[in-house]
Amino acid sequence: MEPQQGHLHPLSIMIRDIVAIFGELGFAFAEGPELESGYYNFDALNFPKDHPARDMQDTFFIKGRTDVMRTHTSPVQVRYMESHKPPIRIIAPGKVFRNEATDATHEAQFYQIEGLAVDEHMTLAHLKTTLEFFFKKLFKKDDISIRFRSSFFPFVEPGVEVDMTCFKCSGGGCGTCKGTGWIEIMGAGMVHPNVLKAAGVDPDRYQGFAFGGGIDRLAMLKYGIEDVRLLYSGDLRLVNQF
Amino acid sequence: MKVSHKWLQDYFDKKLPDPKTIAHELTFKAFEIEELTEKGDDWIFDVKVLPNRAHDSLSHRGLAKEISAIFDLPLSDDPLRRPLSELPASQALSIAIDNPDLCERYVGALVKGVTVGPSPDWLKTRLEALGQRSINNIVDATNYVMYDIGQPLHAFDARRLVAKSSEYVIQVRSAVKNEVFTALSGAEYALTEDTLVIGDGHSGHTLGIAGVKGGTAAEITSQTSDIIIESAHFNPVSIRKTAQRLKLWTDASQRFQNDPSPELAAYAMRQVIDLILKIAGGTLEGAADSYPKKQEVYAIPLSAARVNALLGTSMIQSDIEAILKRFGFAYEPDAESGLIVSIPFERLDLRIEEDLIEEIGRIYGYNKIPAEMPPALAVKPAINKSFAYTSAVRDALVAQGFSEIFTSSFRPTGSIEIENPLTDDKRFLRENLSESMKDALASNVRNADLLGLDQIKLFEISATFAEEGETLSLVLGVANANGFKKIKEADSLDEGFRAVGTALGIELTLDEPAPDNLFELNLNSILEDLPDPRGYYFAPYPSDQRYAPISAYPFLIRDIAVFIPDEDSTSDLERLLRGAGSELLVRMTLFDTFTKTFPDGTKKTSFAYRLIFQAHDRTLTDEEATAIMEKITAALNAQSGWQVR
Repeated sequence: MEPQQGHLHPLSIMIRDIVAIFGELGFAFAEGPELESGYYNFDALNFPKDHPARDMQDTFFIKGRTDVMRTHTSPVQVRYMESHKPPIRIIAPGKVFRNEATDATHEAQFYQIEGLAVDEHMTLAHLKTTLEFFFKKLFKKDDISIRFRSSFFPFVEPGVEVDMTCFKCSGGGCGTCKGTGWIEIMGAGMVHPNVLKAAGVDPDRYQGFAFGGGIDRLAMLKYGIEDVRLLYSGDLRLVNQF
Repeated sequence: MKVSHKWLQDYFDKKLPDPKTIAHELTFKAFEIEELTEKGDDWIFDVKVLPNRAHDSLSHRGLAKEISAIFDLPLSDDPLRRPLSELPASQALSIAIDNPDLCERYVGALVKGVTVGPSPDWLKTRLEALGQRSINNIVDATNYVMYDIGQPLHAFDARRLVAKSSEYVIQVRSAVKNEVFTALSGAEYALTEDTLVIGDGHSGHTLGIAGVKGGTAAEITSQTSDIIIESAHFNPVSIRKTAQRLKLWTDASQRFQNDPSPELAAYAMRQVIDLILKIAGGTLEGAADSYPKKQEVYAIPLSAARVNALLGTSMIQSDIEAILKRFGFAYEPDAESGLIVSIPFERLDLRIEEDLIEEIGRIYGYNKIPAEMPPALAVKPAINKSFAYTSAVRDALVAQGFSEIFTSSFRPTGSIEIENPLTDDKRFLRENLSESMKDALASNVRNADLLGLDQIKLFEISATFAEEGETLSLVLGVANANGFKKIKEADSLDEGFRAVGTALGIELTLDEPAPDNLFELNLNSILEDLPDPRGYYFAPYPSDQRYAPISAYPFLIRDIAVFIPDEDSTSDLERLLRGAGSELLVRMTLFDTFTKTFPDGTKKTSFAYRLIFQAHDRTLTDEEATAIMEKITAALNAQSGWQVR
């Protein structure tokens, strides 16, 4: 009888891949607390107080405190900028929390990957190429490209939604991409000067791009996992397939 | 928000592109079109306007402006650019604002002698296209102007207010604590002093919840003859909080909570008065406008250099000017920045150069942005200490046969409570990983046969939460299934524990057997004392995983043992098992082997397999399993020299 083989969780496999790919581009792995202050989760990221923009993210609030369970890994960007001078290249994969009803595509906790690059010269063109490099390597396909759609997030300006060519059908249209040939995969943009300022970076001298997306979503797409809740059920029927 | 293609077409002399083209371009350059449906001879767009543009684009005029910029089609007549003449001052209506910080502007107008009745067909059609009910010509007119230019309006039956010395007073004030308000819908609400209301300044009666919903007290009916129209600006935070508190969200509150320009109120009042006089008759007695602090006018510098520095493009000033013209933004040359752009009153989102650069970029087209790799850094990226060591721990445990699980950070008990938990059993942040590990061991033990495992070995690395703070923890757990005795749980746990120590470069031993065969470790305190790692040294891991969905249906277990001659191999045996077992055989695990010499001198080996059957679409019956076993037995016995036991 063979010795029992252990298995890494698919999200751990994915995080390793992501760290390695961005490592090639010089991005370091940054971290921050999961139980975050309202300041780092919202205020420092240019969300006005009591504003509908905060409704875009369903937040878990901590009883008796102004803290929250972080709704995105963007707070890590601010913390990092406060303690490091540009040039900056970081990714921040981490667990985030959203107060939404759970179903096959929604869980109360999931993993996000955040990226930040700040330098004296940094543009949307750099962002586009960086993301294309990443997705090509992650899905191991050379014919993946990305496109931007105008959108809004308080911490970037311009803000965009990022679609990538469907890796399954290379853009021809299939079930994975609902026939469109494209998959909506991330949010991104140029870091808002208010965010740079709040973190102690001079917006007149430096610019940055930032992006963020769900790692669970990437894993579900790449491996064909049909229900996000399976990733947190502690179930070896899932884990031992990897 | 729903908008009608025909209504949008009213804004243009030239014929608009077809709805699908408009939807496509808007989705890329302005707002996502979530749905496009044909409705009679019209097309209805369901537009997702995000919080940054909800103050000016929750209207047909807002969408028309976007279409104008995207397709370079000028508006034939922009309601927000028509000259705004002053309305005659009313002698019979005055406004009293108790809370000026909650109401920046209130325009009231008294129109006498209207005839309330059904709306003309064109107006009914317009409203019904958006899924709105036609109520009467007065109410419809106020709704029409709101959907047209984005300013919520309201009309009161003037005669239901008390006049003193022939004068009405509209009072904007706080509600009285616990007062009950009956909305036009008939629903009743208990108000708090946080709620801003519109009241009759003479009688004190509450006529409406400001910016949210009107009340029955001064409802427009077929008997109404004189009306007071309201066009105002209310504090967006107050409106948002009131709507949330009362769980009463309306088209009006949605617009007010996004803070439209107070300048808009005057345009809307002019437009709705003109419309009402046209379709309901009457005469304008006059208006009162309380607007103590006029909105500031903004001008923002814009330089081609800055545009290109942010977008990565190579635009020249004339490219930028061409786009500014499409928006109708006035601009002047400036020695320092190249251009100074005048910001129209309704665009409260344009305040810094980056805001304008986004306007330029999205109309220019993000698809035109070239490819360019970011400059490489001189230094290699720093190594994340925690990730380096936890990765080493993961690899060491996987090599020991432990599998990694992720479970919920929320538990029924803990010391840090969530204000708004999803469910009662997820009310607290977990203080330890052990409780989740216990649950996971138990549930995986139940599936041990399906997994083909005798011993379940699990680990999790995750944060735990206590008053003192957040801690990175590691938990290992071992559980034997089916009375498995060959390997002791405590021994496996100890092996795992030692392997963790080796990975961290320290010695870790369990001084006493761990209760429940699981052990939790605070990694933060250990990591603090470890040297900084020099790199990530991930153990090789297969990268060609294929995942098959897990069946929701129960599995059946059958055992089979067969003697096969030494010349034949287990791979032949397994091939036959798979063939006869079909796709319903989801796992086979060898659990026993022994060799026997028969009386005739032949040597054969018996192999015993545990077979697991499961379907993806149904519960397999015992009869089905028995039938498959018969097939398998026959297939094996058909082999020369093979003997099923």
